Amino acid sequence: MFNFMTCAHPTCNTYICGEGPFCFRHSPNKDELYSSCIASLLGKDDVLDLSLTGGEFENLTIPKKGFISSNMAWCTFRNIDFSECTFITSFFDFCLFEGCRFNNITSRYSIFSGSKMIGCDFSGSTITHSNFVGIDTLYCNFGDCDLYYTNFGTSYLRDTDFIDCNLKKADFAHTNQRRVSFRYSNYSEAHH
Amino acid sequence: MRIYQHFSVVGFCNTYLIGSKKGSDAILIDPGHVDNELVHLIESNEFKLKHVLLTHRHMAHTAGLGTLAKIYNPTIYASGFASYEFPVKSISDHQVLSLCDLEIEVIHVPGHSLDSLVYKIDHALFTGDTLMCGRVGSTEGYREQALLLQSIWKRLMSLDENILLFPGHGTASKLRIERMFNHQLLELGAMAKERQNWRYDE
Repeated sequence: MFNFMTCAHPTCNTYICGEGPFCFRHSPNKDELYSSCIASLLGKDDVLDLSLTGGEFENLTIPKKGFISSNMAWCTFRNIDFSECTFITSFFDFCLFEGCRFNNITSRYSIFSGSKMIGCDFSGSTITHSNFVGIDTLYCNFGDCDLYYTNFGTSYLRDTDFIDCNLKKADFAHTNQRRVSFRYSNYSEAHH
Repeated sequence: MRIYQHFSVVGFCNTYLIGSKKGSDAILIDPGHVDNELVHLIESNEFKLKHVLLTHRHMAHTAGLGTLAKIYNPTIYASGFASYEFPVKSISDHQVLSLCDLEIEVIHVPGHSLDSLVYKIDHALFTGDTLMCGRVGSTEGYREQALLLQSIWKRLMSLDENILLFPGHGTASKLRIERMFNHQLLELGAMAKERQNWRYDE
């Protein structure tokens, strides 16, 4: 798991980035931490135990790799291609994802809660036991996904498709939906 | 610290395997069901399973104890409010355990069951059936529900909101996420408060 030490800045409780003692936002070596993060995102190896919160990333194609026990909460991702990646126990809560591709990803025990997703494509993915509680979607596509035990509770869904998905034990309770399609999916087996 | 999550298809319970590093002594929380995948998780990390922590005595969380005892013979820790057919070390609220180079804080959160315990290890909270992603644990009646909500607000929600939440069922979360989006917690909290007011009015 990523380092649980919190930032040395007096009013900040965010987890440290790299060796610390500051989080990414308060670090004096922000550029160095950012470059090292980009290198690990674009490198061949899995991203393991990384913690970088509040970073902004644009126009990247991430090669097929795993994000394991990492924390990238409060980040902004624009036009990032995460296709074929694997996410295990990783935290992407309260992020902004704009025009990102998550085709054929595998996500297990990962957290995307509270994030805003605009024009994102998750089609063909296996997203099980994942947390999408309180997300805010616009023009997103979850077509042909296995969403077993994934929680979308309290989400605000607009122009979003869940076509031909497995929704067994998925949770859509208290969602606010407009122009959302569950065609060919087993919506009746989800909790809603 | 390494935290591995295992999903048991029997009882749909989450089991957590925790060790400080590969090859170290390890702790298991809530052995709902012991299958090949769980044994492989322990063995592939060369963990020496020494201790088992139970959040509460419900079958979905304890059914694998017998198999585990045969293979690894771990020390079992559970609340003193429940009795078990295995020798168990009784633990209670506010106790701090030092196991496998980890400090484990025991928090009593009754309501779902009288013996419900939450374990805090560093910035990770293992909540069993007390607080889960988007909901709170089931209860037997209004009084138990009020007790559970009160315990959650008093003992868990007062902690740092960046703390990670690993519940007994469902997906992992963070305290901040639950504070913002747990509909049941927010809705039932308001209802419980309202009921309290009715009682005062009387």
